[in-house]
Amino acid sequence: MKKLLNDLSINVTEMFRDPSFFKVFRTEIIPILRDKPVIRIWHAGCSSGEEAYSMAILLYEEGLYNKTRIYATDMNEQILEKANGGEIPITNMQLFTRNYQQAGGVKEFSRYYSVDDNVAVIQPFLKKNIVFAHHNLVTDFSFNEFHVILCRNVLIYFNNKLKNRVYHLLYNSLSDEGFVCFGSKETITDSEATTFFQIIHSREKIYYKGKKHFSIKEEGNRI
Amino acid sequence: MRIKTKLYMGFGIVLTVILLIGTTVLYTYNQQRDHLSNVVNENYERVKLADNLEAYSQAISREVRQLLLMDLNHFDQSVTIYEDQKELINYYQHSSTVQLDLLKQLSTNKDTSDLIATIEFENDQYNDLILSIFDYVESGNTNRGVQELLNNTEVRTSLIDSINELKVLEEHEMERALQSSEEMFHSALLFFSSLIGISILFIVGLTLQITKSIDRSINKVRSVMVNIPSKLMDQLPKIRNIKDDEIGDIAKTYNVMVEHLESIKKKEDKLNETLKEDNWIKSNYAQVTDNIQGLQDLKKFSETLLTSIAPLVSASFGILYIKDDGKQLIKQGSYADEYRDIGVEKINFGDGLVGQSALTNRKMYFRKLPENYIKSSSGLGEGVPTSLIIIPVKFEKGVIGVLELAKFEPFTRIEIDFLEHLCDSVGANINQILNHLKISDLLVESQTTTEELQTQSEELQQQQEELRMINEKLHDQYKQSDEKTKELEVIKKDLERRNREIQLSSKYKSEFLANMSHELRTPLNSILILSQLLHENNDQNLTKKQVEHAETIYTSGKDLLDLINDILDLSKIESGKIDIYPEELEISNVKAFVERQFSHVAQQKGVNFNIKIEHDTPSIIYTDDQRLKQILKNLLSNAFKFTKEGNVDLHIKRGSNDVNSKVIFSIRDTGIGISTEKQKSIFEAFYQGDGTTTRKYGGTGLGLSISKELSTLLGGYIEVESKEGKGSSFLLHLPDLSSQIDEAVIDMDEIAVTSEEPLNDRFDSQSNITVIHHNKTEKDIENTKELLENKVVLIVDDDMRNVFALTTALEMNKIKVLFAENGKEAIDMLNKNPAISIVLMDIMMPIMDGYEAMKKIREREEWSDLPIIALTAKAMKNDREKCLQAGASDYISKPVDMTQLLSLIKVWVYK
Repeated sequence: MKKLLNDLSINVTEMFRDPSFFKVFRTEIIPILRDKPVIRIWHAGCSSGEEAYSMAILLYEEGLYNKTRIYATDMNEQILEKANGGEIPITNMQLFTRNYQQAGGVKEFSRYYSVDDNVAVIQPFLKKNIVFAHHNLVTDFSFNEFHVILCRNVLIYFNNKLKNRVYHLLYNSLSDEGFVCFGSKETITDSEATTFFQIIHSREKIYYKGKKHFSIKEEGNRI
Repeated sequence: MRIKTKLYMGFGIVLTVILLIGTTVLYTYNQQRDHLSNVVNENYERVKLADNLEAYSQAISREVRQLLLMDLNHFDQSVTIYEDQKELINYYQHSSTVQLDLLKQLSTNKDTSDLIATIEFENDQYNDLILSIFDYVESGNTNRGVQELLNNTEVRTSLIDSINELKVLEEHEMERALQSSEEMFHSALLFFSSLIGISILFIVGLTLQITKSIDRSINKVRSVMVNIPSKLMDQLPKIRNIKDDEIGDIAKTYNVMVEHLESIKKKEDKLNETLKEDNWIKSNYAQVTDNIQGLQDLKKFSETLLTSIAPLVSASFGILYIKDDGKQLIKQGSYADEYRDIGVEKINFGDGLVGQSALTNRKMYFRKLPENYIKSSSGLGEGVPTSLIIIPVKFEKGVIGVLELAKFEPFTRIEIDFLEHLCDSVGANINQILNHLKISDLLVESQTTTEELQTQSEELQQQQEELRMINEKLHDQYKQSDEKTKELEVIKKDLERRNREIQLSSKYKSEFLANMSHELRTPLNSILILSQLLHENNDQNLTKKQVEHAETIYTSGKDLLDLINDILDLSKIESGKIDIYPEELEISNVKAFVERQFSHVAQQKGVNFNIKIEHDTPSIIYTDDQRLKQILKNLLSNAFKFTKEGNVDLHIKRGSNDVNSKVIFSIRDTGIGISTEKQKSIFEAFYQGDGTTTRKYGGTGLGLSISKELSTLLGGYIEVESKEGKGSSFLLHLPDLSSQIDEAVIDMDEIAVTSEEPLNDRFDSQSNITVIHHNKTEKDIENTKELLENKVVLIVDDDMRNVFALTTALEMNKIKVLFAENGKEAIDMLNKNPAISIVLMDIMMPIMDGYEAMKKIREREEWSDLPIIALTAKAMKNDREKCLQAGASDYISKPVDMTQLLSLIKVWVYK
């Protein structure tokens, strides 16, 4: 059964996937998070953890990693184990390096891993504030309140009914004035989510939960 | 019985009588009319019918005779005439029959009916006779007809007689009827007259009765009311035996009114009494107040008051006490004490009856005084007053004095009221007098003060005059100084210009020194690396002596490098060319670094080295790692340098509440210490404790200056405490550097700085070979080797030190290394060696720099995918972007971390 699930669930991810998203996140969202005493981030559907590590790097470079707790969850336990190992096939690293550069990385990407055999191992200091845990978006419920939720490229495989369930779940898991980010290619305009959240960056699909009007600078064709 | 009922009853009876009379009149009149109509309609009709009947019978007999006569004379024409005559006779016969029938119908009594029946019979007989006559005539026997007629005359006569008999009968009847109606009318007239007469009598009687009864009741009430006396209102007559009717009601109301009037009268009397008393009080009060009006002396006031009051209330003794400033009552006046002083002079509040009265603010009245209480005398004799009254004099809710009076008889209520009233209001007068006295005193005082003030004012005017003169002088001086200021301004500008020139030349000097660093250190670094490699003797081909020489070269070179570094650091700091790169730094990391650096030194010098981190110290600080370590190194080096025995302690603790102090690094030694006067100058550049110190302890004397400048750059500061001969303690306070500072630093001028100090660190920290971290296990290295084996790396760098260092390290991983000194050479090299799998590219090179070289390489199609790693200075953030734009695949900052570089190479050469 586990093996079947493993095969069924789709695990395509990259570090700094859609670099422009991370760039916007760094320039627009990080300043808002900076004042918070503790930052909680949830990667819903983290797959093999690349995105969670990317976020850890970004926060580290912004000097916020120490007060951040990243919860990375997936329904596939096998892939969680892999994510926890923090080992990335060396083949992907060239692409990830380019992503990192485009995402506005301010240090050297090579500082965050060391190569061992054919895998790049994420530096342990990046792992210390990440919790990998099992969580099924379809059957499980909210387990904390987060300032940021990333649910990128997960819902594209869901039907509308399941999507709406997830939107409810995300909404209930988001703190007031929190942000939720979907994949750049996803469309959620046709669903109920538009009633929960305020869109604040249409290209990168960043949404905001809160009553006050909120907007961030949105430049055309950044990349 | 009530009047209303009486009236209703009377009028009811009258109305009934009138109705009765009316009805009777109507009835009688009706009967009379019936009677008359009977007479007219029946009797008269019958008479008329009988007359008609007689007339017709007469007419028939006449016509018959006519007929018989005519026949004799004119026989020829007789047929026609005869027919006409016959016709006429038949008509009369028929009419008489009709009259008879009508009579028959109208007849009511038997006599007339019988008579009419007889008439009818006789009429028939007559008619038969006529018929027989006609028969004779027609048969031409006229004579016979005449005969027949003459023979039967008695038939016609009896008919006429019968008819006349009927007429007489009917006329009798008529007469009788008329007579009876006449009688009836007379009897009715009589009845009316008597009825009206009786009614009038009855109504008059009733009216008289009712009027009399009403009149009686009203008279009764009126008689009582008339008797009300015009003046005596308190005993008014009342109406007794009241009837239960309207007048009775009036009587009752009258009684109530009388009661009210009586009570009003009583009240009025009472009021009059009070008014009289009030009047007495008021008039006397007015008289007294008039007497005391305008008196300003307390004694005189008191005497006047008492002499005014006493006669009014017939008092034989009187004393008035008035409160002084404190709680004492002073006797101010007395009455009737002609030959002796009566009364006590002073009484405290609460003492005796007078004091008690003043304290409680209540009057006291005694009616039976003991015999020896006080004696009142006149020329004739003396007696003892029996009544005594003590009344407090009030003012604004307080007591201002007390009045005491004695009298032979008891005081009346009015007298007491009067006295109380007086005492209530006289307080104001007393107060006024007291105030007046106070004001008089104050007036005297203020007059004195005014005089003094006048004198002072004169003095002040004098002084003012003097001041004005001084002011004029000052004004002159100000003008002079203004001129001087202008001169100074010119001088200041001149000085500023010179200062700018000096700063500029200083800057040139610093820049020169900073730029020299590259030139100085490149060869020196090469000497150091190579001497180190020689010293390690990896190939085991040097003699022991040679190895020692190599070590000496290394040590001397290192000293020289330190000196140069210090000088350059200082010059860079002074010329503002030091950049700060804050990042998260774990305190434990600092501890590990310090341990690594100095435990060794401590051992060598035989000094105890203790590092202690307080438990409440923040675990993280956001600062520039390298600069912090540099400061600590300087301070600790100094501590160890000047300490021969004892301890060197590093104590890390939470900072004070100061913004600039998050963490404190305290370095304490037991060395030679610094004298108080020198503590200030130790941070100045090129300074050591004294001139001799340099020679004794070595060192450049720049360490503390650099540390101080660096701590300032990191937003903190250094404090020093020291006692000569006992040791010193340096406290480094550091804050979290905010991101703003971070950005500000990045915006600063970017200058090329090669990686001098960090590499240096590595020489210092580990005596092991250059740049490789030694936390890797042998196995790792083996793996790495496998991956990297036979890969060809091209290093492009004009700095031989870097080339050597990198070459050595890479070759240990079985990588083949080629190198080029500049971009141009690099491209040539690539052309010659297609096997090159990765390029490490320095940026600052002569002839062709890294950017240009990378661009040139990327222009070539076969090298578009060639991995190029740019070697950038850590400081140059923008360099990275420029590198990426120029075509670099990735970058790594100098000093190069070998593990990182090897990982990087592995990633980029992986196929």
